[in-house]
Amino acid sequence: MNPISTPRKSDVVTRIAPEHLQGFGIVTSCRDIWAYRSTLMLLTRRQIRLRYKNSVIGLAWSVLFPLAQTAIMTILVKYILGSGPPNASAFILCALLPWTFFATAVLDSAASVLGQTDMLRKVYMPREILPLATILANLVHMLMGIVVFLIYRYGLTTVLSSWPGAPPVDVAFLPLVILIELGIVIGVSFVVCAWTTFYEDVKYIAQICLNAMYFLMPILFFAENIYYSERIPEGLRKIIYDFYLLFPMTWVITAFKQMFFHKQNIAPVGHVPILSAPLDYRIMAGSAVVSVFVALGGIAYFNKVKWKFTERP
Amino acid sequence: MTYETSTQPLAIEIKDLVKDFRVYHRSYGTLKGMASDWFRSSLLRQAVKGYELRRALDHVTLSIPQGQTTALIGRNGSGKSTLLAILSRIYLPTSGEAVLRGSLMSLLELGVGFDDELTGAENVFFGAMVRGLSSEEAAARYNDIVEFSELGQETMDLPVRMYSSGMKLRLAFGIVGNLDSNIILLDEGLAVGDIAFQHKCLDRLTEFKAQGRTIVMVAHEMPLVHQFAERVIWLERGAIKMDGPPDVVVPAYEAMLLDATDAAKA
Repeated sequence: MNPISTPRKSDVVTRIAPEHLQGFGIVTSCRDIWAYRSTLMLLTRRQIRLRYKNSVIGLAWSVLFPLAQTAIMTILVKYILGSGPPNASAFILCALLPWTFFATAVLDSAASVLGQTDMLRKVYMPREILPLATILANLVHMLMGIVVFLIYRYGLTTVLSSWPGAPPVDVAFLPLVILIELGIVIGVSFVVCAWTTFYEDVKYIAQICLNAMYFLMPILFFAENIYYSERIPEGLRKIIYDFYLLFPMTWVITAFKQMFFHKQNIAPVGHVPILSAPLDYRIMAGSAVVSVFVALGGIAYFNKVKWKFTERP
Repeated sequence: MTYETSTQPLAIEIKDLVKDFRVYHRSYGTLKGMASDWFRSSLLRQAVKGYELRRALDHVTLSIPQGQTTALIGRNGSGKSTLLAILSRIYLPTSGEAVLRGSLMSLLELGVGFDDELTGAENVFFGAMVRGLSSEEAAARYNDIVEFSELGQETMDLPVRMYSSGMKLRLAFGIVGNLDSNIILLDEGLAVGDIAFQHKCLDRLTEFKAQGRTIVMVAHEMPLVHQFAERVIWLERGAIKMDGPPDVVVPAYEAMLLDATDAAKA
């Protein structure tokens, strides 16, 4: 018989009561997530590794995938629609990175609790760490994509189209913009995850909504296109443009482009040049506030229903 | 009827614990069910809930001192598993309160919560870390766990989805048997392994008892109850029917089972 460990003198006191386990809402959630941070990191690593478990080139897919998508969309925009600005591929890749993070994080975390209800029936862990691990894993994929984009933007395009090599000052805001996006992703994912756990239909509804957003978000075009559109009455352009940027994800994608392409020509080749708008710090401050509220709202809602996950019929 | 054997400080203190489960109607969650519920509630003005409440625990109050081994007995559906699940924070109690003093380890429904896609080795780390160990502490116990479960290093590198239920139990008990929690909850976990492994687990339980750990187990085999438990709690319909030493409670429980069998035959 191998030697047996002696019980630790433990002064942990666990209180199990409805008002204690759930009562303080967001505070309870955050306290529990922090206490289980090492498990969260373990689950995040698992997610990153399992995604390409049986693939030959593994993690390289998370770089190849956006590149392939960019190539297809560049052909569409540049040669079929003829609406792309010079260097359309750089703009598209830049917009795709934050968008792909949002879309895949929401869809993946939708199933994150549903796939682990068996585990939740056997051992306690804060339910929040399941969608959170999925979100963090997708964040890592985006960060890898951003590295590739930086090489593309400040290596290749400087040589090929003699764009200025030095990044504009606004790039310093990149971490903040990513945090703003992370807040939005957490808020939306937590709500979608909770709903999907009760009604699997929600996953399909989310898929439809994401499809619609894919075309309505400024990925294949620019938010500034609305501002300069000749098909919108002149008095309405500014209002619609501002309203459009009120949607946090619209702003995040636009901000990504404005950070890396400071005052660049975004008119289709052969048209009168129009310059992209500079990064607007007021909208950024507003988006940061919205992002915090979206995240806290999502966590609060999740906390309200999370104990029903193990009791679902 | 209450029963205290010890003046030790309390490890588990349960006050007035109630758990109601929702038993949903068969049509719950379907579009048709929602449509008919909506029709009945809004047009016919009937009260529609879509579910009934079933009381699984009915005002249970209970104190277990440190170092005591308690067996929970009772027929199926009497609330034994629900009680352990609430102590393990699987379900939220409807009302009431429980306080646990010391770290908790539970083995519920054959498993400590394995991730089927991870290998056995990774699950050992996951299982240990989700119970509050650091990765260094988990690594320090890894060899003991593998040795106890007798699975061998090749098996430990396979994903758990390829394990048989016996292998899963071995690994689960290997983890449970090598962590240093003060409170151990066991839900009829031992029936699957072979006889030799069962004996090994029972020996480990005896050592745990000797170390003064608090053990609460759901038991269906009465010899096991006599062998291990100092105290037996008989649950019926979610309430404590009897609480006392094994030689008092077990005969009463068996007499009731006999009566029930006779009644079923008649």
